Parts: sequence; structure tokens; C-alpha cells
Amino acid sequence: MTIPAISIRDVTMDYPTPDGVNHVLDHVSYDVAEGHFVSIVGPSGVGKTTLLRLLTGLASPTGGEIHVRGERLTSSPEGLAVVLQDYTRSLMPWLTVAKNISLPLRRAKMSRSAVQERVQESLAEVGLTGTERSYPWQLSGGMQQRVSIARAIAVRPSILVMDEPFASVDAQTRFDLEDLVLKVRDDFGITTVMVTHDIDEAVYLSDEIVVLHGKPAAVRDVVKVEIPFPRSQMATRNDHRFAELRTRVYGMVRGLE
Amino acid sequence: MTRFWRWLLAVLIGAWLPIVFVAWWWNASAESTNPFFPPLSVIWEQFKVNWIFELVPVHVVPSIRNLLIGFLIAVVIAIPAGTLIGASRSGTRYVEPIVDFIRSIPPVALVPIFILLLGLDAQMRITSIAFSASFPILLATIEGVRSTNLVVLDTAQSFRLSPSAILWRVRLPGAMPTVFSGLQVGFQIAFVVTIASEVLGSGFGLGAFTLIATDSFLIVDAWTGVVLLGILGYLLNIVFDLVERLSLRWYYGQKKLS
Amino acid sequence: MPGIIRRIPAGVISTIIALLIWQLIGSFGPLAGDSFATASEAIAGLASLLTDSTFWAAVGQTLQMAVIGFVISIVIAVPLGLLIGLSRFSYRSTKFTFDFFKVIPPIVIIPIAILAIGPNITMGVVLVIFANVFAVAIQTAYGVRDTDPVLLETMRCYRFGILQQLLYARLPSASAQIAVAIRLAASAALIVAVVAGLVGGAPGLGNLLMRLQSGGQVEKTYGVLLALGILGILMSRLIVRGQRRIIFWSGR
Ligand SMILES: Nc1ncnc2c1ncn2[C@@H]1O[C@H](COP(=O)(O)OP(=O)(O)OP(=O)(O)O)[C@@H](O)[C@H]1O
Ligand SMILES: [Mg+2]
Repeated sequence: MTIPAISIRDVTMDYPTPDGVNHVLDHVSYDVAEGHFVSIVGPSGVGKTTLLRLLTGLASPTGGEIHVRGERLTSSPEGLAVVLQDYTRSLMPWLTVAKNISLPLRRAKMSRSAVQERVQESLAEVGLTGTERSYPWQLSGGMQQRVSIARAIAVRPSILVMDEPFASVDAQTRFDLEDLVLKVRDDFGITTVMVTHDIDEAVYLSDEIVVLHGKPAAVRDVVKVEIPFPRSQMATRNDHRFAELRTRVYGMVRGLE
Repeated sequence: MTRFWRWLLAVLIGAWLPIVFVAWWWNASAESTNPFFPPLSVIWEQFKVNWIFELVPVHVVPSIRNLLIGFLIAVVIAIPAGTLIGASRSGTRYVEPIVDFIRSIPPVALVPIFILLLGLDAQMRITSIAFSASFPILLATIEGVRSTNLVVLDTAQSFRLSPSAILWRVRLPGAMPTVFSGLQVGFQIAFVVTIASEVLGSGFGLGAFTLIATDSFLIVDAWTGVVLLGILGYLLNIVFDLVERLSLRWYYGQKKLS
Repeated sequence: MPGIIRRIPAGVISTIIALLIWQLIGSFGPLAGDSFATASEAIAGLASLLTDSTFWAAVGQTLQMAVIGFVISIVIAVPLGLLIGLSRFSYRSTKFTFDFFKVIPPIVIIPIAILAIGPNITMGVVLVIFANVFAVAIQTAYGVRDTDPVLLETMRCYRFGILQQLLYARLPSASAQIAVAIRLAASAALIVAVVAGLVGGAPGLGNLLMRLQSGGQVEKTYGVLLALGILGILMSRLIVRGQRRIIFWSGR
């Protein structure tokens, strides 16, 4: 058996509160296979962001273990890129868009011109060519979010973690970005974990969908999306399996099923 | 219980450094023969003799009385004046540059002028304090009243509140946090000017005591004065903070939430 | 006619009106007399000072104390504050102590400064440092602690080390706080340098003011006050302008 990219074993998470603890995650177990695209869905406040914080090494679980490629997680793993939910606060207002994107590249010992090229390329992919010299706060919310996506793909990560990355862009851009993420995943074999509220999006993008439910939350179900890649916005969304899966997942999230 | 422990921990973390500092001072100065830096133990003995409570009625009470009277006068004049000016847009434009200019003059530098005008007595001191303290309060009130949250103002107008109700219920409470920051600066200035007016005016008062002791090379006495002034300065600031927190409870509550 | 008036800046009009009122009070008010200079007398006093080399020497000495003290306090306090702000323990340990010294006005320690240093430029510099170092350090530390946690988390995800977090996130983020502290420190430096002369006998404008006043030179005494006001305004304008350039991203 091959080692999974990310392995979550019996993970429990409590937050301390003034009167006791807030028990958020309860014995969550799940393996993310190398190169897979996994979406995490669930009602608001269930603990999706909490789970991502554990995966990225930003917080340690109260109980259980997380391994990345067989190694126990103690800090953020090598080759990680993130798009956090609070995208407006994750860019540096004192750096230009280009500098924001190139900052994580500086340690990769790339030549200056290679860095420049990479920045241009990433910006082009998220449709923001020409904003290099702008500051993040001069851009709209959706544009900032795309900068944060560009920064993530620019580092050529082996693991990409995103928390509602497409929440504030218009529908057309959203489709484009979804396809972009699928494309870079294919090109570089990135293992991707994404939290989303949009069940259609989860079905369209994922190999597997993890449904969190309950308080404290546990993995209620794992849905395999057996629609072959490459997918396309028109064809896939009209596929009868797409409609079925969407209905099923929707029911699970709402706790109807 | 857990809240108590957390509080205790916070106090300990805040207190260890001052304790270490005083202990170090006590030990390092114990053998001191440098006339300007007498042993802390000697200062402490003299401190007890002077300020617990022998000289308090003569030197501390008048200082604090002047400080409070002067400050109150400043408040009573500056807040209404600032409100009037701030409520009128053109008033602000015309008055602000002048107030700004006067405020740029170091407050203590005005004391010699008041000595010229009024002589050396308590009246001069109180006037200096009141005059210097009123400018930061005035500026802050203007600023606070002028920058009332526009949404709140629109809402109030849509309820058809009368102009005076808008002033009392909306503009003034909204201006309070800003006004208080001005009061705080004004109070600190009042404290400094209190000392300065005594030093420059000679006679009674803690500031005068300390400087006269310095000039007469009563060094231990001078040190006790400095220590007491430091403690007083800090305590007055704490009292001021408490008053502010009590008066602005709604404001701090809101800030905590957001 | 009103159109013309409206085109004159409000500051100019109000300055003229204020000078007129001053002139009237100085001539006819209850305190009118030899020791109350009118506006015209004060301006004349300032004018005569401007041709007086002792005045310019005093300006130089005051600025010297203010600037040297200011620069030293920044050079000490900002790195100190950065260091303190790096850990929650060091921040909370020093907060009380620094707050204590911060609120003690430097005039309080003038007697000791006179004894230990003597009434000279060095004393003025030391007082300026005392006045500023605690406030700037604690404000810097606060700014460092106040860095957006989301930003720091993002950096941790991309595996930036502590030093890089300090350089790229904490320092720029604290710079708004630092700038406020520096602006306050600059005006405090000028004020304290004057007070050092006025109360502590250090050289400079404060001392000149004291001598003019006790020498009965009323017009020039008022002239020095005008000069102090102008100096103060110039100082704060200069600082605000420099600041806007450096922290361009705030106040967007
Ligand atoms: N730092 C924290 N301290 C204490 N409690 C927290 C903290 N972060 C999250 N929680 C609690 O954990 C629970 C789950 O929060 P989380 O942010 O993971 O939800 P979420 O599924 O991401 O919600 P959303 O879809 O709205 O983003 C909530 O009840 C929240 O109050
Ligand atoms: Mg979330």
C-alpha cells in the first residue's frame, strides 16, 4: 500500500473557553491520496477551517495525529501553499502584488529573472496581468483573492490547501479559476484540499468529497465522484451523475439523509 | 477560580520587573558614597519623615488643589466651547488653526507670561494650569463633535430628533471617546504645569520643595520629592484611566466585541 | 466681494482676526498694561529677535537638544520595542514598568538631572530621551504584537522563519504605530528641550525666555513665544509629511 499524502488519524480538537471547552472535532479520520483533489463540505461553523488549520500545521490537535507523507506534522510541511479564508488579511499591504507573489519564491534559490517570469505567468493564469505594481488594497476583493491564488500556484506546491478560495469572485471568473486549479493540479500533480460552501463546485472539482457534520463534528460520509477527468464546465455539469451526486451531498450537509 | 489564577499570573508577570528593579537599586546604592546618588534606604527613611505625613498638608495638598481647580476650569470652558465650534463647520475651519498654533507653544513656556501678568500667587498658578490644559481638550472636542458618525447622524435626523436632542443624545456621546483622549492629554499637561508654576514661581508646593532642596544641596530631600512626584504622576494617571473606563463603558464594550 | 473673501484660506483670515482681538485686549482689556504685550508689540519683539544672534544661538541649542535626544531615543526605543514585542511574555513583563515611566513627565526628574549632569546641553538631551524612550518602545512593542495573525499564519504556512516574519510582516505592520509614536516624540522633544532650559537652566530658548522675562523685556518675551509656536508647527508639518511618504499603505 502506498503512503497517503495526508493522513488524519482520530483527530480531536477542543478550544478552551471561559467555561470549559468547545469540543469542535471528534475522532476525525481520513486519508488524502497523493494527487487527489478533496473537498470538505459542511454547515457553517462545523469545523472546516479548524480542520484545515490542523492540516497546515498552524494548530496542533488535542488528540490524534496527522502525518504528511509518513511524517508526523509539527509545523507547516514542505511544499505547502495556502489560500486562507481571510484573503484580504493574508496579503501584505506594504508590498506590491508582484512582491507579494514573489516573496515565498525568494527562498527557492531561483534567479531573479526566473522569479519575474514565474510571477508574470501566475498573474496571467488568474487573469490579473498588468496589476504587478498595484498594491493589494487598490484591488477589489475578488482580485485580491486571485492574487492570493496566484501566490499559491507560483510556488509550485506539492500540497495546496484552500479555504473557500472562490467565495467572492463573479460566476464567470469562478468557472475560470476552477478550471485553472484543475489544470495546475494536472500539470504538477498537486494534492489539493479545499473547503467550500458550494456543493456544485465540490462535485465539479473533486475526486472525493468529505462531509463533516454534527457537534462535535465527525466525518459523516465520504463521497467518491466517479466522473472522469478532464472535466468541463458544460459537459460535466450536465452529466446525470453530477445531478445525482449534488442531490446526495446536499442532503448530507443538511442532515436530511 | 480560574479567573482568579489568570489574574494573579498577569499581576506577577507585570510585577517581577519593577520588583527586581527596586531590589537592584536598593542593593547597588547601599554602599553608595556618591553624594548625588544616596542609598535607597536613606531616601526611604527620609521619605517616611517627609511625606508620611508631616509635609503633606504644606506641600502636597496645595499642589493637588491647584491642579484640580485649574483642570476643572479648563474642562468647563473647553468642552462647551469645543462643542459649539465643532458643531459648526466654518467655525472649525476658522478656529482650528489658531488653537493649533497656541497648542504648539510648550505649555510650560506660558508660565513666565502668567507670572508677568499675575504675579506669583495661587491665582497665577491656577490660571496657567487652566489655560494650558484647555487647548488639547478644546481641539479634541472640536474633532470629536465634528466627526460624529454620519450614519448615526442621518438615522437621528430621520427620527426627527430636535437639534438640541441630536446634540445631547447623539453628537456629544459619540464625541466622548475623542474628548476623553483630549482630557487625558490636558490632565498630563496640567500636572506638568502645576510643577512648573511652583518651580518658577517659588514658594509652596511639591515642585518648589524639590527644586529648593536641589538648590540647597539637600539631596536626599530632593530625591524624596522626585520619588513622590513620580508616584503621584502615576497614580493620578491611574485614577484618570478609571474614571474614563467607567464613563465610557459602552465604548470599550463595543470595541471588545468587534 | 464675498467671492474674493472665500478664496482667502480660512487660516489667514482667522489669524488676522485673532491678531486684531489680541491687539484690542492688549490695549484696552482688564490686564492691559506694561506686562501685556499687544500683538504688534509681540511681533515687533519677534522681529528684533530675528536680527539678534543670541536668539539664533538659542534656537540652535534648543534644536540641538531636541534633535539629538529625539534621534537617540528612536535608535534605542524602536529596536528595544521590536525585541520586547517578539514574545508575549516579554511584552507583558515590561508593559507595566514602561507605562509607569512613560507617564512620569521629565520635569519631575529635572532636579536629579541638575545634580547629576548639571545645567547643560547633555542634560537637555538626557531629559528628551527620558521623555520619549519608554513611550516609543512600548508603542513599538504594541505594534509588533498587534500584527494581523492571519498574515503571520500565512507566512508560517509558507515556512518563513521568525526573522523573516519580523522583517516582512511585524516591522511594516508596526510601522503605523511607530510612526504615531515618533510624531508624538518629535513634538515632545521640542517641548522638553524648552522646559529643560526654562526649569533646569539648560541653554536654549527656554533659558532665553526666562532671562528676558526676569529682565523685564516684555516684548521680546512674547516674541520668543511666537517663535516657539512657529517652530512647533513647522516641526509637526515636517514629520507628518515624512510619515505619509513612508507608510503609504495606511490611510488608503
Ligand atoms: N480560535 C478559536 N478559539 C475558540 N473557538 C474557535 C476558534 N476558531 C474556531 N472556533 C470555534 O470552532 C467552531 C468551528 O469553527 P470553524 O471556523 O472551523 O468553522 P467553519 O466550518 O470553518 O465555518 P465557516 O463555514 O463559517 O467558515 C466554531 O464553533 C467556532 O466558534
Ligand atoms: Mg471557515
